[in-house]
Order: sequence, then C-alpha cells, then structure tokens
Amino acid sequence: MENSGRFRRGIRRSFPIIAGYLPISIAYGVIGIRSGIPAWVLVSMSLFIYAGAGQFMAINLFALGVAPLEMILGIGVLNFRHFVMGLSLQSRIKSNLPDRLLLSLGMTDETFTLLSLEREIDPAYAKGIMLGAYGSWISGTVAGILFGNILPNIIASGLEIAIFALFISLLVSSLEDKGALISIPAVSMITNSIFSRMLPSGISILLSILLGAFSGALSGGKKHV
Amino acid sequence: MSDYLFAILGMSLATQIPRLIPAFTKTESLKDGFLKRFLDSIPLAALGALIVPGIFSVGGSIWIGLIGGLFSFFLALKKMNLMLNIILSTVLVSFLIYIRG
Repeated sequence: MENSGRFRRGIRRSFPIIAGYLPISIAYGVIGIRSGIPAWVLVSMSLFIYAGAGQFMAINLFALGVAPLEMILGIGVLNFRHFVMGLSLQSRIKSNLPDRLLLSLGMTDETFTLLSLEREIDPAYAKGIMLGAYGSWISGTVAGILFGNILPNIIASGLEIAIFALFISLLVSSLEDKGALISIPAVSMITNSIFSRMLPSGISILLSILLGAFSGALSGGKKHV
Repeated sequence: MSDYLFAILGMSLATQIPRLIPAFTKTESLKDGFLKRFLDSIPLAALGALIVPGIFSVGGSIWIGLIGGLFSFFLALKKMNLMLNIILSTVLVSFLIYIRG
C-alpha cells in the first residue's frame, strides 16, 4: 500500500482514541475556563504539553497559584512514564531520525497502547493514528472552551469508559495465543492499586510498569513473539 | 502573563524531553536477552497499570466501572469490533449512571 493509504488507515484506526479524547478534552476546556484560566493558556497546553493527566493537574495548580517551577517539576515526574513507553516504541521503529522524533512527540498512553500490537511499527500508519488523536485533543479543547456546557452530563460521564474499553480490548488481543503472559498486566494492576493510594498517579503508573515489565523479563523464555 | 508563559514553556520541555530521548536509542539490534524481554513486556505492563485502578472511578462508583469493564472484556473476548465495543460500553455505562440518578 502507498504511504498515503497507510496514513489514512492509521487515521481510521484512531477513531477509538478520538471517542475517548473528545469528552476528556472538552471537560478540560470547560473546567479550565470555569477556573478562570485564559483560553490561550488552555489551548497552548493542549498544543505543546499534550498529556491529559498533566494538563488537568496544571489547571489545579494554576488555580491554586502554585509557583511555576513546582508545576514544571510535578508534570515532569507525572509524565516520565512516557520515557519508558518510548523505549519500547522506538525499539520497534526502523526509520530515520525525523520520523522517530515525530512519533515520539505523538506518543501518549493511548497511541502507545494502540501501537503495542505491532511487532514492527509502520511510520506512515503510526503518524495517521497520532494525527487523529492529536487533532481530536486540540478540537475538544477548543470545543470545551467555546460551548462545553451543551454536552449532556450523562453522555459525558458515560464516555469515561471509552478509554478503558480501548485498553481492555487491546489487552485481550495482546494476550491472544500468549495467555502465559497474563502475569505481566496482573503484576502491574496489583502494584498500581497499592502505589496509587500513596503516590501521584503518574509515578504510581511508572513504577507499576517497571515492576510488571521486570516480572515479564524474569519469567522470560520464548513466551513473547 | 509571563508566569503563564514560563510555566507552559517549562512544562512542555519537562513533558517532551523524556518523550524524545528514546528516539536516539539504538535498541533494534538487541539480542533475545533480559533487556529485550523487559522492553517487550512494557506494553502489557502499561495496559494493566492504565486499566486498574483507574477504571473503578468511572461514574463515581466502583460498581459502574467494574460492570462496564467486565462488559467490555466480554465483548472483546467475543472478538467484537473495537469501535462497537466502545459504543456499547458507553451506552451501558451512561445507562448505569442514569438509573443511579
């Protein structure tokens, strides 16, 4: 298939992420505006930070008047899990540096997991997925700022499950024919349940990924592939 | 104004630099050793940590997230199309939130 065909296939494949991102980014826009944060700040954060949990945290901290340096440290720690995910993503990309950098910038929890089924990542396809996700995140932010109050609350809350339905489906397909690997997500679920009670979510997720992957590396064998 | 600019710039760098560093690593040629298995295990570990316990706060009640999650899991086992799975799970969860009032 041509590059542009694979790119379009990626965009279509990103629909589940878009379904999850729109309500979250609309909520972000609404909450941000109601907290008295200027629209240009909210849009800039979606454009340049592009990390859901981190942006919600930033709204809180702006509203509380926390010093910028503390915010920067906090969001850095919260998003450091992307470093670990990036190592895994990049190990499956065989392409030039500009492609690799672009795919790094477009990587989020959701685009990473959607690509986790690929043994070797096709850059054009991945760019399609990432552009769909990024576009919906920005559009949702703007929509939330402009007219977020219109979205009925019940549908907005119901859509909270969308991202999880995506993760669950991906988990089920990843484990198909590789049932023995179920111990890896089991370890990270248990550790994250424990750590998230005492640590900020980003750090808790980071530690749990490391422990889960460590357990997978220990159990080893030929179970992967 | 300048505080906002400084904070946005700093937070962008703090988020994007860790995202970008792995692009400079050379891991494609790793042999099938411990590190390779570690990297291969990251997606599954990430999925686990992203689902639990986050799903239990959906709809503001453990039960709504649990039922919605099990429903979606069941549909995934039945190899339901991903988008349809998301739509049906959303409808179910919206309904559960509605009847809870």
